Amino acid sequence: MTMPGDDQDRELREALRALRTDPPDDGFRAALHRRLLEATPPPAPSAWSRLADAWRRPPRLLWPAASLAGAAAVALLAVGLGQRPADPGGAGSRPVAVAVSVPSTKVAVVRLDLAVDVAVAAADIQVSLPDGLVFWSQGEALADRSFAWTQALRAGRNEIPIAVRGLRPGRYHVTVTARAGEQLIAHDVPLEVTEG
Amino acid sequence: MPTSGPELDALVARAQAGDVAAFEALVAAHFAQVRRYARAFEPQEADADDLAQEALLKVHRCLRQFRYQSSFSTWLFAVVRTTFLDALKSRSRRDRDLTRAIGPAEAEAPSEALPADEGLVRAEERDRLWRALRKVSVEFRSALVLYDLEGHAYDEVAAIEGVPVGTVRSRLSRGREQLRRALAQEAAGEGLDPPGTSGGTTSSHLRRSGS
Repeated sequence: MTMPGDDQDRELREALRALRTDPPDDGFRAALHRRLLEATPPPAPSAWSRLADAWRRPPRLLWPAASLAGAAAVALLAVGLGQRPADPGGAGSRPVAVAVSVPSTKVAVVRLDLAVDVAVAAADIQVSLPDGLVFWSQGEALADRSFAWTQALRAGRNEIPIAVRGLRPGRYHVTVTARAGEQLIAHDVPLEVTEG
Repeated sequence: MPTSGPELDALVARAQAGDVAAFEALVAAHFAQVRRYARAFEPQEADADDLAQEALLKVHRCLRQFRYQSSFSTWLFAVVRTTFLDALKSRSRRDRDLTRAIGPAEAEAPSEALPADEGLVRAEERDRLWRALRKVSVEFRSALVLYDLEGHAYDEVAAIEGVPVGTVRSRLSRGREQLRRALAQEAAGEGLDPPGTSGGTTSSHLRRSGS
């Protein structure tokens, strides 16, 4: 049975579809071309990008490399984005952070696990370190204290490993924020650096 | 332009390496959609084209962040949408000042002269629909453009907007309601029947609410 509201929706959608006409070029392509030439080219991959790309390789290639770098500890962070149904006891329904201890001579791999109900084309993610922790890449410390990037997320769990190293003993918090659409989640991952 | 497969991958790789021609080939198929999307945010065509170009320049700047975790077109529209919403926020103060300066009635007033030519009548109807669309709340408007106007699937709109499919359906429903009201307001000033009201000059929502 057709409801009056259905007819109205159909009529409205037909009116909107009628707007789907290709506008005349009117110099659009030429203007865009000029602006592209004037614009700086896409930035060269940062140390972070190279690091993140390397980490996205299949695990068989990833973890031996991480081991060679001296990875000693793993902290798990599960961050739920999207309207996930209640899941008592499940890691995906609420942030979970496991505090780990790592000697100051070792690299800790903090694995962020971003759980989303639907695929997200562009999620904004930022990871910040306090004084006393540094990002670690290819056997050396990076100068940046914070990295922000945008990436797509698959529906389900998305693991993002971050390698950090403690400069001196103490209890620290790695701050992670993730924004998908209008949802913003911020969380601290505790990490304890010990002597040795 | 390839929409997937090795040809698209090669084009993306060239564009990511800074090849402007490759980037233009990559996004050319989306020009019309991006320009129409921009019209939902900017009333003047020249301003809408300027906004569309800003969004495509942002896509160019962010291209290295595309890592095939969605289709290229979904990723592109997510970046474009973010650019439009950011631009809207930064321009809202300017627009409010402008509206106050000339008055809303004058700013939105349609031409009183009835065009004799049918083509002009259709153009006037399209302009009225665009004006009404721009009165719809931003998040509802974006869903209406992506789904109703451009024909993206629910899950594509959900991925572009970063919300569940149920939220997209809700936004569409509420957006259509707002659009009907805006069209009724437009038509009330011209003695016309707005689309989506089945011959009435008042929307079903307005009748139900007794407005």
